[in-house]
Amino acid sequence: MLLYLLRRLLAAVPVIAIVAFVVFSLLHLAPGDPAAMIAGDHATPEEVAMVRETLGLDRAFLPRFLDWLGQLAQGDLGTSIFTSLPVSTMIGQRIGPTLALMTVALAITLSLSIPLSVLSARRPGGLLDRVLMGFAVLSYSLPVFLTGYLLAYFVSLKTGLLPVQGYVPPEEGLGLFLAHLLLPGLALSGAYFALIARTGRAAMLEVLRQDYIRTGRAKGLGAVPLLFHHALKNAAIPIATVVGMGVASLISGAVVTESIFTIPGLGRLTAEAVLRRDYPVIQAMVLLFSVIYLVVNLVVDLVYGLLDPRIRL
Amino acid sequence: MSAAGDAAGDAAALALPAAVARAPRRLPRVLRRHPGACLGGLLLLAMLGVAIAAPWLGTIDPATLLPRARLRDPSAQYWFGTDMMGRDLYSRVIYGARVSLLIGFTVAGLSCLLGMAIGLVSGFLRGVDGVLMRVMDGIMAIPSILLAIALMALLRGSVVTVIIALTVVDVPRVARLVRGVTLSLREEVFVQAAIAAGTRTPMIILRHILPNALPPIIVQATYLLGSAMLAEATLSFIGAGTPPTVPSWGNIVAEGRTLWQVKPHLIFFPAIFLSLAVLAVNLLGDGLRDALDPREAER
Repeated sequence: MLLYLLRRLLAAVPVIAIVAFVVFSLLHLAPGDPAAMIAGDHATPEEVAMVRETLGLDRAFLPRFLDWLGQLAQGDLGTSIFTSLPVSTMIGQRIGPTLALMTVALAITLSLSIPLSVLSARRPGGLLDRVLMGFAVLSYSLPVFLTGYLLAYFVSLKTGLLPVQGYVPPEEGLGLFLAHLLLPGLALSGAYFALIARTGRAAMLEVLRQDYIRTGRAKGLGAVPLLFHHALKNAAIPIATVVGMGVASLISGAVVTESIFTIPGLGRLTAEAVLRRDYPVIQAMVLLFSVIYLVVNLVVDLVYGLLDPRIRL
Repeated sequence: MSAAGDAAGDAAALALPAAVARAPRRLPRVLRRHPGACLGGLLLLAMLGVAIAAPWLGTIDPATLLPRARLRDPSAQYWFGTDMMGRDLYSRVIYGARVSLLIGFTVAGLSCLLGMAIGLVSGFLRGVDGVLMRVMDGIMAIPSILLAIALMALLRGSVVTVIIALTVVDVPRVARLVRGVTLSLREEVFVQAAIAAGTRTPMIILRHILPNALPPIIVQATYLLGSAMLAEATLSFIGAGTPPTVPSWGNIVAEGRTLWQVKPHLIFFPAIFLSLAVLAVNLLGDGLRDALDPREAER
């Protein structure tokens, strides 16, 4: 187990290095003069030169890349062009709301999609199955800003049941904190919910065809233990895989969701950085989210062993 | 998989013309077996029709400013109301279909062509496979919207740069798929026979691999079309997409953001059109997948 973990961690290093290389080389491969682009249309030549120097564009590619990797290894993510703050400080200030939002979306998605997909697999083509699959197509087709604004408008603005926008840190009251995250969490979980519900149903249908299920049914097992105890166990691996892969949709969705609900998280920081063309921040964001994505999927790989004792790590 | 896949693919390709030829008894059967796909196909055709016929659908120039008719609610004169600059929202939304569909189709087409080229080469020439696939893995490890955002931060926002950014994001997904299919097809007897007979590699790829790899690529292309339209809207929504002068659905929503609490129609009309377009494409994709995937067809 420990050996496996070590091997997987080592295998993740080249992927992270390639991601870093891709992100870094974008700046150098961009057509035209990226320094002028980032400095903006009204910048003086001196300002453009300053941006060029800050970004290291006046130096050769390889030494600059190696320097940057060295800084990364020491936890230095660079300095924002706009605020002159270290990017790592800015991330520290903003990461809390994003993690909270993603946790809420994850909790909503898992607690609804898994039981519903298991139940719908019981009668493929039945009412629950058709409703759930129809809803799944809808929820991965609707853009986050439609579901987000629909929820904010009809649930919050029209009825006043929940706060419309904003974010309250958990220190100021857990109830208020959760009330502010419920709608954004729902809006964010759309595509993720669809992915897990569809995969869960397909995996369950595959398992339910097997002989041991028929045996279970023949010996008089009830539907609930049969589905949730015997079948779900074997369907758990593909579900766990998409739970990990789908985190990408949470990350993408967070950029929009945080903008709609004015949540001061990393997604909003990314959107602000784009408007200011604050490339060091964007670069750090891409890297950070890619690492989060890789780590989540690494954890999912480790969970395989817990879900299925046949998989020896 | 190839023979069965081929048959299923042919059957699906022939289903519609055959149904028309043997009308009217077969037509309802297509509808009955794939109601979602038919609905999606019709919706997509309708959207395409709207995009092409935009100037003749009772629209005015989407950039016309009507300073005395700002922020009107939907009415007989302004069907979807007007925005804060007094532009007719109905005209903007209808013209928006052009931008979204143009970007969606171009991105899907380009990424399939490039992805196919990379995937076929990678699956056939083992020498370059390692390098190409590591680069593709690196790109795929980056959440797609973030990579597109990073690219757009370095490019001047325009329809062309949005297409470039979204294509870069989507190419690896197609390349991975095509490489996988190519690797499995290489082991098929008919390909081995062609290799043994001394057929040259480009010919094998074009004649034997490509036609058999097409069905899954077509399904993938459909989903890419939907995701590209969503991605364009997302980029434009946060201000990293098409320039504000272009009436894309994402831009229209972005402009309505500040006023959504009092004038929700500014957001809901463009967002609903985008949702319908993406829904149409995804329904069509699901139907195509069921029709072209032999494993699904068994059910």
